[in-house]
Amino acid sequence: MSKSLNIALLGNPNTGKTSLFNSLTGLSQKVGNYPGITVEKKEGICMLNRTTKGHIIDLPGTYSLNASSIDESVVIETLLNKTGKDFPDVSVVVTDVENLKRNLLLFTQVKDLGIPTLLVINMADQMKRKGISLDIPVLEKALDTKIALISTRDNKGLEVFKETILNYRKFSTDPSISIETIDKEYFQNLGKAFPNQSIYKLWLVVTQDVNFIKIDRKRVSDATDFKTVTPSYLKRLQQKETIKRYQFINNVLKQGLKVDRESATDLRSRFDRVLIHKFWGYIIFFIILATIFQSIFDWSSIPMDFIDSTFANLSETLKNKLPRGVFTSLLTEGIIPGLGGIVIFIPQIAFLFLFISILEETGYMSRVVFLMDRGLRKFGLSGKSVIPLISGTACAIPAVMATRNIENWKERLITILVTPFTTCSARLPVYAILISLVIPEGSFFGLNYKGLMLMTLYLIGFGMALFAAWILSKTLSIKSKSYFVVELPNYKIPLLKNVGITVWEKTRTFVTEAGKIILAISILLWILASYGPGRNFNEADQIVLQNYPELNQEEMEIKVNSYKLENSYIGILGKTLEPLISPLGYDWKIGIALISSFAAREVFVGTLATIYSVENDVEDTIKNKMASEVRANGEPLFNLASGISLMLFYAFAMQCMSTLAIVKKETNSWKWPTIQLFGMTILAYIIAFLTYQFLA
Amino acid sequence: MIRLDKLSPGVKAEIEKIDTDKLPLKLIEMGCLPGNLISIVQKAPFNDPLYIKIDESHLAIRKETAKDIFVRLI
Amino acid sequence: MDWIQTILVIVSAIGALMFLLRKFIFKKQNSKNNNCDEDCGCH
Repeated sequence: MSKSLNIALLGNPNTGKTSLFNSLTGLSQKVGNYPGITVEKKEGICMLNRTTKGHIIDLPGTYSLNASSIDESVVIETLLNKTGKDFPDVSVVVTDVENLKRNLLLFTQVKDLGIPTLLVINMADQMKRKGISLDIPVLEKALDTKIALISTRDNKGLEVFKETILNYRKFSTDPSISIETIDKEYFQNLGKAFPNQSIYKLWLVVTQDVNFIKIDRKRVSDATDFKTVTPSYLKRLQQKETIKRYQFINNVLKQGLKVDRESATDLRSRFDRVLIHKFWGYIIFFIILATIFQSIFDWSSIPMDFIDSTFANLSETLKNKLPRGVFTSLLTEGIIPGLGGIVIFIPQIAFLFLFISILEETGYMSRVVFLMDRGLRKFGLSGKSVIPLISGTACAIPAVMATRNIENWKERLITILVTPFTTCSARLPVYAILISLVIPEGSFFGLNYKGLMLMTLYLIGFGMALFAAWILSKTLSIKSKSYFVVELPNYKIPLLKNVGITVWEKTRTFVTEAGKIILAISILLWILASYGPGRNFNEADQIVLQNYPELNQEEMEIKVNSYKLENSYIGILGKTLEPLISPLGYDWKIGIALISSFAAREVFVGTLATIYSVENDVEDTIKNKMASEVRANGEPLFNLASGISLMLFYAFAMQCMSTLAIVKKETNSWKWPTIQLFGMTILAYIIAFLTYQFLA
Repeated sequence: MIRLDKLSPGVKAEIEKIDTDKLPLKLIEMGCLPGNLISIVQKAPFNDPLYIKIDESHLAIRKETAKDIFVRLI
Repeated sequence: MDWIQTILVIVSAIGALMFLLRKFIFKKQNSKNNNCDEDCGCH
């Protein structure tokens, strides 16, 4: 029988904690959510030796256990909840050799909880180059712990790490500092109120809004009320605690750490001089963005065309091979074209996630935060809003969650509200297909029109986000304390493994999540499009024959199909809506696609694909089908005016239920998602209306 | 003793005093404590935010926060 | 053979409908029941 060990990975951001996690677990990892909150929970399995399985949890990166955000609360809750299934048998604090001092602050806090704790020093291979020398036995003694040196860059030290961790029962669990000495009277009273609890744990509970098992929170606060301490007194105690810990750490490092700055070579300052230069920094940032958007469009066109034609062929082949019948039709006209409408965007989405994860891995993203803070503050945002705004180009959901490290509530709220304006990957399919239909070939200074149009749409998204933020900052009256601290980590060459896992994980989630919805919707759409009420639908052949007796057989078949579609359930629904959307340049079929987009925007293409397949039996690519749609007057349905109007509608409308749900969770109120839904959608309608009327 | 935002980039200094009521705890955790070495690495346009280095931590903070940190040239 | 195809269509329709309803309308109750053991003290 194999044993299982719970191992929690902790550490400051940018220490290579996630790299260690990736090295240990590879693709066996699962990414989910902590119950009830939107913090990402990563766990995975790793064999420590032949018989022992490590269940590894990658906790969010934090600088301390003093919770100031929900990420830290998750860490504390996991470490305090003895009966929880994730409670660690052993905790591992991952540190960066270059900044051991600050990293040890978290280590001493974790160790004081009485959980066996292993100290991992990462990037040990860099020590020599940085002029750092460590005396491990001395450090182990002074910190009263075990130390494992690893290097996640070249996977060194992992075996020793695993061996060390198996001996976790021998690790000391004595505290590094005695918290009582900070304020004797206060801590004595705390201890008296709850005699059987560890003082340090009580202290964590008092200072943080964390649920504590077996202790009623109310009683704890009673106990602290009894001493009538104010929040600012508590803060001062926390500062004292921090100072005390640093005194301890300084003492330790004096014995075990030697730094010879002379031999250190500094790449950081050379890069920084250019990348955050007052002028060139901005130019470089713009060039990087432009390159990303151009390449998303260019590089993915070949695999996309391939996927498009593969799905068309698949439908055709199945249609010929399978016995004729309604289910075959559902498969070849509903499900396959619908799924094709999502699979086709895998290349673009993968590229997008690739670029975003490279920007984060290299450390460039926090330079952008630094560059943009002053400018964004004018719009009521924070420099940290850059990360949500840029990762919003992948998906608004993680982007809204990424607002969590914005310390100022007003800046954070505004960021949450405007993030859905950024062009998420679900809009990309819609834009991609419309651009290829309505934007002419040609190029301008070596940039092709289609790529330029896409870039313009991204800029419009950002622009509207900024404009809306500015309006909100002027109208919302929320007072909140403002501060801003961001770490600028060292530049790193991105680890292929980390980037690969991120791209794979995110793309897979996107495809499976959206795929399920699209599958369900295309089934329902096909049924609604293939059945209808009354004589108009069921006796379509005769009605068409009566009205158009002169048609030949082939023309007759097309006419009957479209007459049937117009009188199907979905046709009736669409026709009812048509007066509302025809001023925007859309027909009823687009109207249906707009409605189904509320489940997920990318459903747009699949919906049209399904509708057109029901109408017309000829198997063709989605793009060709859309191109051959005509209006009553014979003009193509998708022309410049209707195409741009539609793109702008998608740019501004709030069409994503999942985003609304996450906003509700993060703001803890229905008010903000409701404002987003109506505000954005009405804005989209007005702008699309003006665009079409102006261009048509 | 001068205010951190008045310090010129590249000049080494030591933290002398901090306004403990105003300064966020996070910054203190990152090592912003009296006695530690501090310098300004770079300033963004309009001198805000500031790219600072405290011991081995490289951070960006806003000018208004820098006003609560007092340093002594060394 | 026609009836098999009809049944398959009906089954997929019901499946699709159930999936969408669970996903978008009964979402809350589901997530609570599935993820939360009684100790976790959700926020």
